[in-house]
Amino acid sequence: MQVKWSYTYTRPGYTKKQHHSVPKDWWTEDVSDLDIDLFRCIVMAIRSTYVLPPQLIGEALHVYACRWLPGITKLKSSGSSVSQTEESKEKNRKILETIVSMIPADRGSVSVGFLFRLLSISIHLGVSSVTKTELIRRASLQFEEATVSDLLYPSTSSSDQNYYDTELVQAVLETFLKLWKRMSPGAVDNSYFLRSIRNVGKLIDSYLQVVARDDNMQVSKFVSLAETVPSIAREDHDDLYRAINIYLKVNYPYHSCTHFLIFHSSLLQCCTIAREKSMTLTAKIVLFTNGKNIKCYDYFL
Amino acid sequence: MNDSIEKGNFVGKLESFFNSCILEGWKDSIATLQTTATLPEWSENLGIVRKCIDSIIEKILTPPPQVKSSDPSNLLSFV
Repeated sequence: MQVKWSYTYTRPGYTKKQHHSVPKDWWTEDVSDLDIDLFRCIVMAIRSTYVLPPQLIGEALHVYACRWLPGITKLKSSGSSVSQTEESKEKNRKILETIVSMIPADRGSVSVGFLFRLLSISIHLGVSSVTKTELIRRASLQFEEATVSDLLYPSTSSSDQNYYDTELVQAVLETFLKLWKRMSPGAVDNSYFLRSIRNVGKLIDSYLQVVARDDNMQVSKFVSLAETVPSIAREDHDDLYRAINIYLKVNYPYHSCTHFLIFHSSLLQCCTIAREKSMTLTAKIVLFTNGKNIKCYDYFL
Repeated sequence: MNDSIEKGNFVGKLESFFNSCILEGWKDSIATLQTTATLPEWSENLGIVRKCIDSIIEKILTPPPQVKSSDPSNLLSFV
């Protein structure tokens, strides 16, 4: 007998295969219509059978979050999230905390990008510190898989003038480093651990290059993030140089860079750390061709 | 209303409709479960919530081609 298959699947990327088989996550969208308590009942029951892979459970949580939590799919969420009433905030807080409590323990059951999205809206919703700590811990476990765009979400704190929220990235980085030190005692030569921390170093330096373009970026936050990366995580300092260079161009276009550096001792210190390390030819050219910052270039050398 | 009054009465029919049409279908189970929120105590006491949840879980855990659809023609065959 020919059975007609009826389920909702609106997400992109599947249309090509539609006629051959049913996607493994066929059930996730329809189940997302349910309210959070019923959804939780179903997901926990499925989880406890261990029949489905943890990534599939993670996908169901992701679909549910996209359906109910405003701002989780959009980069510039401030418009919609600010207008939330206390009541809807309370409701969303409950949804977020429930979702986090259901993430399977297996590493990679949800993407690190999703964890960062949850983290960014959790601050705005004022979730419990338990949930926040758990999200930071989960994100730090998968930190090396992150891309720069995973880390770029707008700051939601009203006291914070920065466009990007660097504090959360800093928190995840610190947790990652703690974990890394605990996992790799004396194993500096171990290529797995070295690769892992180098990936994170590269990630942070690339991230710094993007946030450096934010003209409200406070020098203390910028330097603190740059300094938190231990020297073992950097093979060379080209990316850090570029980030500092961008920062100076954006924030102090009319000042002498040397002058600026002397008055911001923390950035000076950061440059000094970098100066002592090797700088490759590429970075030298980048700084040299940046006409306004020739003094900066002189200083670096 | 039940069979003690007359054979083939309303409750029995309703129950077999619920079991064969609602619980067998995927979207019907979801829609029914969602509606139980409007009468939570009744639904809980009558076991509707539990039955819907069990049916949904069973379908999710069943390899896809074995789940019955919620095609309206099923309803016609019942009538």
